[in-house]
Amino acid sequence: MSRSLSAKSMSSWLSQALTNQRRWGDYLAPFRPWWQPQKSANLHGTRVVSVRAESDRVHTYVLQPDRRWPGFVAGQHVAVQVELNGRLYWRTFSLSQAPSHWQQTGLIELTIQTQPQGTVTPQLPTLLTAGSRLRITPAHGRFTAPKTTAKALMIAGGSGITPIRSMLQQWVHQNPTHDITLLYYNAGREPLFKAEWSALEQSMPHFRAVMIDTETSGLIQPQQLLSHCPDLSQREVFMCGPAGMMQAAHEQLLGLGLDPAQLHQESFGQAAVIPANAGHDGEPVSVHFSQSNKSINSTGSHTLLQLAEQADTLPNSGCRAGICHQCKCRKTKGLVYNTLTQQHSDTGPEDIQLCVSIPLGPVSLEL
Amino acid sequence: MSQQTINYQQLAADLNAIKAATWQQVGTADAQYIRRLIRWQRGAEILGRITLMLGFFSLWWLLPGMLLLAWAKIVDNMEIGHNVLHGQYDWMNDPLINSQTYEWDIAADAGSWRRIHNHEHHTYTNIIGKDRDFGYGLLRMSDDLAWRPKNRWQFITYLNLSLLFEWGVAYHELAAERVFKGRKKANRTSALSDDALKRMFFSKAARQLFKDYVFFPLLAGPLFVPVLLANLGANLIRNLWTSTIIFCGHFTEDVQTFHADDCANESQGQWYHRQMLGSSNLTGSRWFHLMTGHLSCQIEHHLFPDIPARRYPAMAAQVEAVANKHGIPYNSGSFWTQYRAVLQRLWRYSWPDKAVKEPSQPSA
Repeated sequence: MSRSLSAKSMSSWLSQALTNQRRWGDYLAPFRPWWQPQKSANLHGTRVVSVRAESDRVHTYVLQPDRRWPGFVAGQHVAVQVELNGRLYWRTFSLSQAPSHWQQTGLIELTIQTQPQGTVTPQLPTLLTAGSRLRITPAHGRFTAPKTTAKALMIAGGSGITPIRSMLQQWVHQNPTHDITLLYYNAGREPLFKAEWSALEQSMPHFRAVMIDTETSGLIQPQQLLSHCPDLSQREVFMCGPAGMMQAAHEQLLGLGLDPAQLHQESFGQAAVIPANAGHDGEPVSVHFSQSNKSINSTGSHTLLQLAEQADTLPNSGCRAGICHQCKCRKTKGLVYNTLTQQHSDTGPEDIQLCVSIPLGPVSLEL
Repeated sequence: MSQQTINYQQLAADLNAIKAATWQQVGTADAQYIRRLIRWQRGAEILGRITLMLGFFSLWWLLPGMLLLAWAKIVDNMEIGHNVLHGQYDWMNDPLINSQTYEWDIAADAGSWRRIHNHEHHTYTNIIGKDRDFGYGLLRMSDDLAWRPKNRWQFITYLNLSLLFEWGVAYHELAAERVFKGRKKANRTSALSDDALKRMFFSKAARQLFKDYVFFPLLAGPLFVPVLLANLGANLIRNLWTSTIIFCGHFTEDVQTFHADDCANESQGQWYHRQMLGSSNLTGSRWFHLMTGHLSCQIEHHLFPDIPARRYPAMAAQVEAVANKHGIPYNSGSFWTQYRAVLQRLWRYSWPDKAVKEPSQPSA
């Protein structure tokens, strides 16, 4: 006991001695409603106020976070925790309205598109109705609007419009004369918030919104970018969309002579195609070990345990057959295939058994 | 030998089908069950500690207080701790109900116990020399070990082990002979040094002793000694119960043992077969199953260690049908029948092999 007498470590030692929990709050946590986390968990209880259908597969959820929720900057996202069939899932969504709206009303909006193959998003319209509860994190993200009034080009793909809508709503109040061009790409679908874009053009004299349907006009390409925005090289570029589109836009804009510092982007979804079963022989996938700060590339169907051992990250291991759970480790992101259950993992954070898991894309492990 | 005629591939397929069908059902009900049970367990623990304080009014309060505390410790260790540490609820993705972080109200630190128990005992069940849980290095439970004179008193050794079970497990699962005496096992890789293991052992033991024998007795002031004795009583009740249930799961008369070379490169079907021969079940009510942490379904637990244990009773009938189909013995009986079989086995191997066959021997 003599090694540390600080009040905090005393309290933690006592909590461990008396309750076997590192924090007192964890002992009493089961007595709280699940959506109302204790302060130390850095999560926030949230109530669904109303739900708006934007289209047949896009819904906007109006949420009221608890009073401790610290607010956000336009363009940031939150992680949402929902329980489906007894299991907790995390999903990240951009806040789709301006911070000033939250400051005035205490409400935030998440605009969420149903992923037909998804585990979580197809359930959300039935799970989250007015009055239901969920947990969210504080807002995160570096894809944010700068305070400068430099001319901007915004490129959005599909539901990637949400953080850009947040930025535009913020700017229409702060600086209506801001010179902004929006290129909004959709694949054969109605643009989201369609009525808002023409309304914005009314209230912001230098705002132009161009709706592009990739099924008729083709995918993003340099000539098309230039024809819609001839002075793009003088603009700060903000773009958000599916990973493949973002990668293409990034390369094309650099090719048009833009400086990397001008480009701000956020992407979502898997860039690579997911193989149907384990053991891919194509592109190498990278596995990152965050605690030892090491990385390794995998080609072929090595297990994460083999890869972790090759990378010399000293993983625990036991039976090497998925029985003993000794090698279990936190995956922070990435898709893996479990050879024992023959199931694909979730893409978000969860614990996996290294000895029976094969990475199918870039994976980060807390090891 | 029936082993020759068993179709191991078919056996594995049959049992895997039961497993897959059960996983299909696991969901909200299981999450609600474990959360509710944790609330009941913590509620009972808090109420038990408060009831002991009522000893100020009448010392009779110590008895219900002790029993409540013992119940809370048993449920924490068996149905919650043991099963959570097996990873049965890891699918919930809940950081507080997770095999890597859960800590329980028992002398053994959860991390050390989990590393050894899940690996050695569950992978190498009843393989003499590899599964150190077979007899805990103290008892002779089969003729694989040569008789030694000290085995004559092993009945008494057993009673002592039962009363002090949590300390026996803590010391033993730490792989104490490795840590304290430096004997290494070649097949083990661990990122943990012996010093780290020792530190975890002593720091957990210190916390447990502080809680039950210093903090709460001091809180009771003049009732220091009565509360200390009640806490001791609760721990002893828990020790006796857990040790008795665990012995009934692996040391009944008909449970078989194995040798390392029997099991080299065994298939999944052969592994399943060994688990079935190496375990025995107890029949009982729903409450009885809960209090044993469903180790009353030891066979199902060994076949499917990471399926939520509350599913075992429903699986048992299907597993028994598979066992009958393949002609594999399925060892099941009431608590008293099985416990008598444990005591008989303990008694039998207390004596040299031939002695037990002589009619004059009191072979119980």
